[in-house]
Amino acid sequence: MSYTDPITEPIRAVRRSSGTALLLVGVAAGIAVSVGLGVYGRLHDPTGSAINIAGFSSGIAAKAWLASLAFLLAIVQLVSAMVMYGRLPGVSRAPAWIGGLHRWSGRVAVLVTVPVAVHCLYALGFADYEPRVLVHSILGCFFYGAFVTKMVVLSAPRAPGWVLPVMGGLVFSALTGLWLTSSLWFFGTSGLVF
Amino acid sequence: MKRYAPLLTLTAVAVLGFGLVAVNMAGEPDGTAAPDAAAVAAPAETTPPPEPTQPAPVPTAEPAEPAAEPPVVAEKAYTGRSSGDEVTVAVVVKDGRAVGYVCDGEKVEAWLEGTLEGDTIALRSGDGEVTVAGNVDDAAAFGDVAVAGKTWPFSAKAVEEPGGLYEGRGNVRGVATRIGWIVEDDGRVTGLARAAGVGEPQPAPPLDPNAPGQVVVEGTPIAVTTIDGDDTVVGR
Repeated sequence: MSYTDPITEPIRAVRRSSGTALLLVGVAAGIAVSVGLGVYGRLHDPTGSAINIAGFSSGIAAKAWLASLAFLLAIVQLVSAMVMYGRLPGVSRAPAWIGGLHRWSGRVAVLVTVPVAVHCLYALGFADYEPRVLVHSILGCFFYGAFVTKMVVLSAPRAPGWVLPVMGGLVFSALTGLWLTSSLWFFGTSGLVF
Repeated sequence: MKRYAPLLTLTAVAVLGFGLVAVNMAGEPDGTAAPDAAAVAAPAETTPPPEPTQPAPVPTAEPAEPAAEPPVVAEKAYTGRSSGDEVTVAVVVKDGRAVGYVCDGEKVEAWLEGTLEGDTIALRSGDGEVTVAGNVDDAAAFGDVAVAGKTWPFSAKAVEEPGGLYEGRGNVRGVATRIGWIVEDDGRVTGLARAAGVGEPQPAPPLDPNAPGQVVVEGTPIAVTTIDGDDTVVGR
């Protein structure tokens, strides 16, 4: 697919450089979001409480289940992305609807995490009183930064091909770590309570 | 249009996030304080910005006190009540530092930090809603305790263990829970428990001051410590 048309090549070069520039903008925005969330979580006085979201026994249970829903959708994200990149064994051709599935499951997943994260940040803040909590705090800040970067990169079609899978992998890994250090831990200590 | 769909997603996430924070902030003031009472209180009481370490001057403290006067008592614990039995007050001092807990056993509870300069104590909670100011000697502490704009005089006796101030911590059903107990010299115990993420404090489990290591909430053992004047109790 390489050709050099003396007329269109300058345009392609410009578009390619704008892709790289957008990639840098995306990374910078992601870093800003991560650091900003961490600083806010650390500096503001945790209120210890926030509005409850849904009809669960406690705010913590609601958070654990919302985060679990997000994690489930993240697995859908991983599998659908593997299909789109032709990396899922046994699936040679991606069905037409897989892109829509990937986009919408991702949108729902990240929207579902927002009430959880707002509660974490507003009521509890960035804490470090035990390793699990520290890891969770760091991953929480990292997750939204990586998400912002990925969204910006998505709108830069000329970014290098490896960027999107790497960003998607980072977002997925961060969410998995978040789920392990919160919901799984909560269900492990309290049982499967609603 | 399709190219900007991810940015729309980003915007939706940001709008939802900021919206929830705004709803939280709008709902905050009526959560703990009584605004009508706060309005008639001294101007310094109206929600000062949080200053975790530096205790602000308390309105009732004597203004012309020279700074850094040596404390009259090195280490002491005082427990008592406000004049109308509205709240129980504990103040423990050590080397010029003061730590306090104010609790009514039902709805009001707050941890305070401050100083002892000369014979004058001045303490405040992390959000500034609760303050204690007064004077101490070897036998007792007297002064005023203010909770959300209401001020009552209090008296507190110097107590020896098992009397004093206790803090309990544990992860109850996976939720970080903090309990404060005041043990008076006649053996009365006043306390409340607060779970992370829950707005209203809950009744504290019973504390046997002679066996503080045996507090269990819903199967979770609670680590109970005696609070000294040099402990950090605000903002953690």
